[in-house]
Amino acid sequence: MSLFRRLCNNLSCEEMRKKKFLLRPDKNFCYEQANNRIGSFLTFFDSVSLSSGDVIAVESDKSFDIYCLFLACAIKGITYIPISQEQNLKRILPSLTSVNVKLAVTRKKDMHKTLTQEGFECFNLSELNDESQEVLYNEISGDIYVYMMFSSGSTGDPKLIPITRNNLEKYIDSIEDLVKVEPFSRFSQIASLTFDLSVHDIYLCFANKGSLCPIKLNESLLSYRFANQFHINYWMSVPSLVFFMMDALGGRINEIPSVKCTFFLGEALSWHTARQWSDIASNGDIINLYGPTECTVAAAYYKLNKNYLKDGVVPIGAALKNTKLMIDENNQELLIGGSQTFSGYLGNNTKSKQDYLLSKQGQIFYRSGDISLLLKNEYNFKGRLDFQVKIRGYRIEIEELESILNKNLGDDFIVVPIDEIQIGNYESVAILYTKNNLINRINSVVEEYFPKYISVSKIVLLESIPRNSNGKLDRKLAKQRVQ
Amino acid sequence: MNNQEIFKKVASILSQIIKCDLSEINESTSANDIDRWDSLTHVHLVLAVEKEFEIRFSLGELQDLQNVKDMVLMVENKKSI
Repeated sequence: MSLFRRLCNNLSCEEMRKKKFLLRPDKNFCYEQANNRIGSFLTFFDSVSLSSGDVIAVESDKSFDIYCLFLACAIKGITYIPISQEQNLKRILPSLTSVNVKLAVTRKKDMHKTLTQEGFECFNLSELNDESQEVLYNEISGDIYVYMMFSSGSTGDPKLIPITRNNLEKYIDSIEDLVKVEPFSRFSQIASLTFDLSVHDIYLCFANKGSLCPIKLNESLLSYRFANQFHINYWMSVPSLVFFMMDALGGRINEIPSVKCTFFLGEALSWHTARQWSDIASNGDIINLYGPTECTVAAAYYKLNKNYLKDGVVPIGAALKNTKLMIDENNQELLIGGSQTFSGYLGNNTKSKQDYLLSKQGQIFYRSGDISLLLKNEYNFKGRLDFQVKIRGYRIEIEELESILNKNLGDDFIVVPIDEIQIGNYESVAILYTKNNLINRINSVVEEYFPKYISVSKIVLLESIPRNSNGKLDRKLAKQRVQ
Repeated sequence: MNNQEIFKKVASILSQIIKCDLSEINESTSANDIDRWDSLTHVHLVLAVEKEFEIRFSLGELQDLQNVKDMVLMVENKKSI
């Protein structure tokens, strides 16, 4: 049965009425309430003539209404773009405009005001009335986009990554092929809704009659307590969350015995972290997922056995059921194909398709930008082709940040990621510059143009920007200057 | 232990974690007032307070913690039970 038909059935069937849909410390919601709310959204869509193929932006917090809105969109075939205060609105607005967002659904007054001033038709969720309709399954083309997510993976404006209903269907199918998901289970929802790990949480949960446990950003470091209280069975997070939780856990083991399966995604997983997690969630399996947003959440997996005595980084592993992996022999770049791979970016960007998609053996592959080695049928991560790093789990291109500074301040800058949490994942960045009296303006540019999740912990004045004999920026030397 | 004594201890813990002067902290101080008070700091603060007073905040209580005063009141309630 198709993913979207399953969602409709689960929301509206008698068996599910009183089952828990959303679990929070202050309030729980059942499937019946979700069904009614989704019905209200469907009625609202009709009232404002929103239909299949239309695009809306959604100010996304982890509220009951927002999860219901996403599902209502999925049922109706309306494409949603999650946006939030953590993103830098100025940077994403051009892309929103270019994809003809028909409506922006807002929660907070300042977001509403900003988007209205920018010319978007806005609707504040507080005005939604209770008039509801039955939630019915409609056949909708698999080529319609179910959602679009922003990625900051290139210079210039952020790109929109559109994922079709087919892509998402195939991803869930891949995961269910890998793990036998038990119905009526409980799922963590830790990632921000603007990060596609959340797509895994939401759709895997509700397709399997599960209960979702959203954990807000400021609660994430104590998320093991949520897992404990709500008996979470399926956990999905970035590995670095484990690192931050270790302090809070104070060496306690088997803290969340209810977890049956953990998925790690978003950054490299070290064997050390896997060992630590296996002590905390000792009854469960650990699956390392790998993959860019462009290939619908994840494209490869490595299932860890119980022997965690190795060192270094856990392998990327093997292709998921609906993906294909291969290595470009020219530069060892990992290429990802199959039915989860998107067909191209939307929004303002200067990259043409041949820069990131290529045809091999009659099929389309996405260039991951990761260097990989195939050993004993397992793909292993060996580094990045460009200067893309992760800051607190968010993918960012260092050159993009430098470009923002240069464009606004007209000088040379080097941005150096510092305080490495995990391999390729850093806590913050340092900015190196050479012109005196710029510091206040640097702070202004950072405040106005950098994504909110980028933390700038040092701004260092140098006599000159370090360059090598070819005149290129010497990033190694720059790093030494910061330390 | 009275309210003032609890406040002094909580303020002292907070000032050590975020490395600021005690004079910067009053009852209404919250994460909005201090740059260094981020989510990691908040966790450290919660854990340190729990350890100091031998209490444990529930998830619901953690949600209600908006400022130093909330924390002090919550500790006071828990210690008086």
